[in-house]
Amino acid sequence: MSSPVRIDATEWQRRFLDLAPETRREPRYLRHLGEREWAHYLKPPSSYLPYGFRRLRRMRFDGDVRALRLFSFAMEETERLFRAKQEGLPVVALMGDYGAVAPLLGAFPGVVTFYPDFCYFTPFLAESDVLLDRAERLGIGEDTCYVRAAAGAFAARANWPDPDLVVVSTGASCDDLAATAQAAHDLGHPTLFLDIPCRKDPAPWLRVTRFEPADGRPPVEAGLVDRLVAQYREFLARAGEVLGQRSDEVALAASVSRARRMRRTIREIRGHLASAPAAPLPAYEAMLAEFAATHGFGDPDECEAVLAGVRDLVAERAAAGVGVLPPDAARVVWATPPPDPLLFTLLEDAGGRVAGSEYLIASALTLPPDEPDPVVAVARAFLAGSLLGSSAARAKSVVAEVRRANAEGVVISNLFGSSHCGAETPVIRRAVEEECGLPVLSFDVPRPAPGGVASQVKNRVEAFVEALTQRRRTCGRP
Amino acid sequence: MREAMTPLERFALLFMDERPDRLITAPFVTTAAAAFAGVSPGACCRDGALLARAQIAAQEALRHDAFFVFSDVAIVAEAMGSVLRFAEDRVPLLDVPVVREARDVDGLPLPGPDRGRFPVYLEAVRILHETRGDRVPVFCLVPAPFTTAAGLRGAEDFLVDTIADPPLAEALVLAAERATVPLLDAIVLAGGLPALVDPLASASVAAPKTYRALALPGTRRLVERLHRLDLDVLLHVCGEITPILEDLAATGADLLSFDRAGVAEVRDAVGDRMRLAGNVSPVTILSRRAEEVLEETRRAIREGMGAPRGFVLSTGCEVPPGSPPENLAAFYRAAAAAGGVP
Ligand code: SF4
Repeated sequence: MSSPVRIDATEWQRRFLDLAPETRREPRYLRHLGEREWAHYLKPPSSYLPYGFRRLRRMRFDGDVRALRLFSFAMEETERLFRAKQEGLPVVALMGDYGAVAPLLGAFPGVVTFYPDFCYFTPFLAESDVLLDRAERLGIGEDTCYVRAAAGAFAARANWPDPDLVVVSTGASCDDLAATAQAAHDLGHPTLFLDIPCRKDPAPWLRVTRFEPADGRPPVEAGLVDRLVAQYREFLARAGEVLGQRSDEVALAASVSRARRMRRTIREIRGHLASAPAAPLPAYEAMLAEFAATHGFGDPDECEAVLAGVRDLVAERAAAGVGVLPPDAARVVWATPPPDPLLFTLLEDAGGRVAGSEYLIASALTLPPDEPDPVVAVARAFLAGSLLGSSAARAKSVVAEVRRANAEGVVISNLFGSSHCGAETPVIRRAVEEECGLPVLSFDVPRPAPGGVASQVKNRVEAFVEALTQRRRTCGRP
Repeated sequence: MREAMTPLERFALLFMDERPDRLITAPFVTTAAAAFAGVSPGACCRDGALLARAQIAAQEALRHDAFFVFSDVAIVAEAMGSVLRFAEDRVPLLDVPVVREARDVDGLPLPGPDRGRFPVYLEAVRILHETRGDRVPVFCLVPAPFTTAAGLRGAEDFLVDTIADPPLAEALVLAAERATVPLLDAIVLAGGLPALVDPLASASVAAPKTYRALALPGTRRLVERLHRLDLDVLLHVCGEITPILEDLAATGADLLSFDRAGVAEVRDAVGDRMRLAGNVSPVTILSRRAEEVLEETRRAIREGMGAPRGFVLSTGCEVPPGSPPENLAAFYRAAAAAGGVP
């Protein structure tokens, strides 16, 4: 196996046009509906340029078709949602829970879920103010993080069809998100609220490795589990009323099992990313794989196949000792998902590699334990996530990730207006510096603009990677 | 509170068989755009930055839903060796066709994206995409192979060839098709949506069977190539199209822009397979009274709104430079009254 290289949109277009028709046409979403011309979704990054996704011209991508399939599967979510709605499938918007409500909604076969929250990435992929400006006109300004783009999207109704139901997690979730969700609610969509309980620290689970609980169960306080389970039961009953369906217990169990399988696959991918001598996947595609855990991008059946392909790809590369970046790339853990994916390209071009990550969606990566009651399993897994606890708890999970990934440094991409970054970043920095003795780079992700990343940020990322490389020369590997 | 969609969002929804927030209004303000930027049409044809500036100025003044990068239908033929005559006050015209006799076809070059005035188009597309591409779609109008073949040979000689020497005509169309591919690919990479224009293929100029034999295959292959990238393809044919409506549908194009045919007629014939764009006559806009423009625009809207796969209010061909401002205003007034441009 020769060493793969990252390629740009131009090269992908050239290669794509030469692909065999059966390769191009094999990936299809919503397969259970039968053959539909619009369901063939594999396409290269350049296909999205005329539709406004300008950042893609500046990024680099994995050159393997299996990674491209993941990329286009994620990018096609808008059309998938509109087509699903045209086919009469109920479309449900989920906000703020990451990984719990989507498997639960598997109790209603045919429901297609999505996270408006992930509009967070859209202004950057498009290098555009459009959604943020709209959010501002709705009164959600710069004191709210980039998730506010979702409010702008709700207001124009072009990013997704009108949802049949919006499910909003509030409470210990996040007030930036609550502000955004309120805008959706104000537009009159049927909305159900879930109250996310606050997890008290120190909780016993913190002593357990986050992704490999010793006994397969996150040992979360029983009281919290009971509270959440009661809410989930109530939620399923009310969602059934709104959707006009009865909750199907067999389908629910199958949905939770499928979530478990998907998360296991993603854990395997993450394992290779952390342990392979050379990065077996670029950071952007790796992040997309992680985000698939939240809801299978609305089509979990197809998503399983997509993720299995990526898992095989990284396993093959790891076994062959080849990767998309040089083996001596500086290993970092990236904390908080960067809304601007060009930052990954920048880090990788500078000689860095994302070996581990803490993207605030850990609740979607925890395996639902093998409980007889799937609702209990979902609640337990959810409570192990990193959004609900204290800053100290999140810092500990970053430290655990640093150790797992044998990282040489940590990058934290902060968000203007975010409710957690200001408090959390110094805590994470201190924990990483004191407990691991490693340098930390933190910076605010600037508002999207045409062109590349702001030169201050670019310089800082490049200097950080250079410093990590220097440090390796003087101190040896950590 | 509802927010207005951007033109790009409107087109994206149209191509997903969804209804946008309002009537999409996209007249072909091409050469006529130069006046909005205070530059000459001839200069825009040779300078991508000026071409982009003119498009931006016209769109900001009139607020329609698309940019159209376009100069003339000889651009591919020129890149293959035909010589054009330029002037300040108009678009270039074919002067010396590159193919004088049959054997010249073999020596025709396969132009890369840096040949002829391709860089002018590509620069204009790139500038529009970089500056406005997050909100307004950038269509780049490229001659379809049949029309380019006419630019390689001279329109009259080529039309004679289609009857007297079909193998030569076919060879010309094939060469034109091959030469168009790199330009289409480069337009996509620059952020534009390639669109095909085929004025020479209309039934006013060529017989329907000529369209079927010579124009359709190459156009269909180019549409298929763009479909491989999952791009939505606009096909514009001016002149008479009624006898070739089924053939136009057979190209696979997603959005048919047409000139001399009733919107209702086209809607009933192919509206279940194609989205439609049309078709206020440029002649009406240039030389009739504003009330007539208003009436014709209203009729197009009335008939187009029932198109099953969607409708774009447009002109049947380029808005003629020098059109009376009150006539242009009448077009936009009718669009606004139907919920189009604000
Ligand atoms: S502040 Fe953080 S947790 Fe809250 S919505 Fe923004 S990214 Fe999500």
